[in-house]
Amino acid sequence: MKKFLITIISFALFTIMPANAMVTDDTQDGHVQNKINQIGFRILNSNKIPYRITFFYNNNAKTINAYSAFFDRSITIYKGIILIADDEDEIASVLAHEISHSVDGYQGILRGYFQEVKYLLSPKKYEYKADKRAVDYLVNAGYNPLAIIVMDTKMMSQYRYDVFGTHPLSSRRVMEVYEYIYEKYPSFLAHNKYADNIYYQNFLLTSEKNRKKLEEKIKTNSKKRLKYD
Amino acid sequence: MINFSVKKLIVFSLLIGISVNSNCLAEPKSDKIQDFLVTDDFVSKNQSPQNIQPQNINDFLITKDFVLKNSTPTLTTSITPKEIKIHDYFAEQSLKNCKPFVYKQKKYDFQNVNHLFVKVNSTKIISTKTPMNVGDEVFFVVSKDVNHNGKIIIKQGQIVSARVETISESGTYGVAADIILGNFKIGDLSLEGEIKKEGFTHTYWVIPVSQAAGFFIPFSNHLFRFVHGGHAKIKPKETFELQIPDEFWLKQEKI
Repeated sequence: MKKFLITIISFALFTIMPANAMVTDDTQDGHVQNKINQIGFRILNSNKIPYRITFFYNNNAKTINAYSAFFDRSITIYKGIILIADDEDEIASVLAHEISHSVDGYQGILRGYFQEVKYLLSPKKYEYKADKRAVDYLVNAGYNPLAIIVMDTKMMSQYRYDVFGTHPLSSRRVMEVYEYIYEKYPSFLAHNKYADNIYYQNFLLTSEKNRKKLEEKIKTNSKKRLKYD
Repeated sequence: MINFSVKKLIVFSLLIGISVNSNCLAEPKSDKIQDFLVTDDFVSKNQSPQNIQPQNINDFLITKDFVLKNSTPTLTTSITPKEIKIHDYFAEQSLKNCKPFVYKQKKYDFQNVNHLFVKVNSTKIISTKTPMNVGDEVFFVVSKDVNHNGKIIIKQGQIVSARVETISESGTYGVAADIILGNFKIGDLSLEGEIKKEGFTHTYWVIPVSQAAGFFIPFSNHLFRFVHGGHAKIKPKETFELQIPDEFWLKQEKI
């Protein structure tokens, strides 16, 4: 009987999923968690997003990633992002992108439950949409939307093809964001805080062909959607 | 008392451990130093001190600052690092008359639950099928008077201008396109809210049909990825609601 009880208790301990608890102690992690909350809720309130979204900090330094869980619409951001971000705008750019995914998670039938299926079937469409919505969210919250380009240049790898991938090619994503900012918020490009930033400089270096395509589109007043390299 | 099968396991693992260790302790086949040298150049330069040439400090300087801080006045450097800055000439030229963005923090009263809404209809069909750019202007019309305390604060027929905010194209497996319109204004009055419209989602039939097809013809379900969803369309018949800013109609109350 004793052995049976011990087996049951140990099984229960190892199989219960750890609750996604917020780090609230007074250590460095706690300060970072509070900072992330401040940035995230600032974006939510400034954009009058009427949905409950929570933010969690995962102090796994090896991971440079953030994700929005469709199950509970919470957003988790890893320590790797905090380590590579140089200012608050860059952290906000990552959070804004994930907030857009969480907002999509509230749309549709069954309180957005089916939305996850649509995301799995066509993830690239929602990634483009999230990047664009992130620009709007950042501007409304008082952040610089060019931080998206800076952060993406730093942390996103460049694959060869994206036909069967879940995310579009990074070069295409940053160009779509650049085009969106050019069309909607050109003053950020005209008075570019990141003009001398090494990562933004690298974006300019690697996007020369794509920017030429955009230049031709604007000069010819074309409304056709460009396919960037 | 140890079980006989456990005894077997212990002996087997000991044997494996011994055989692995014996390989690690094996002596190298050759003990001639020449076999371990990488290049002859390295040997010839380092074996006798007379062969060592004094290194030019200029070869190790990385930045101008480093040079200025660490070099003696008599030492001159041949390296003049270029400041390479890449310019976004097109943006600089085409946007030179753009004024800086001034952020105005909007103050919302989230405590207030009483809001006024205005109903609007589009003046024409707005569809993602017709080519359009972000920032294009579209027009709506107020479909019903807005009354508050017996006063008409917004009249029927007033034109509402809006802007195309985001266009998201249709995706694979029948996922529809969607369009978001925002920045609604009646004259100087900015309305709150956005209009989001999604096209017809073909996913509802694509998933079951593709799964059935894949069952009978292997891998044929992947062909359904080329089925795109419907275009987002806003028709003049459709009525949308937008929120009037609280401070506007509260002002009207005071008047």
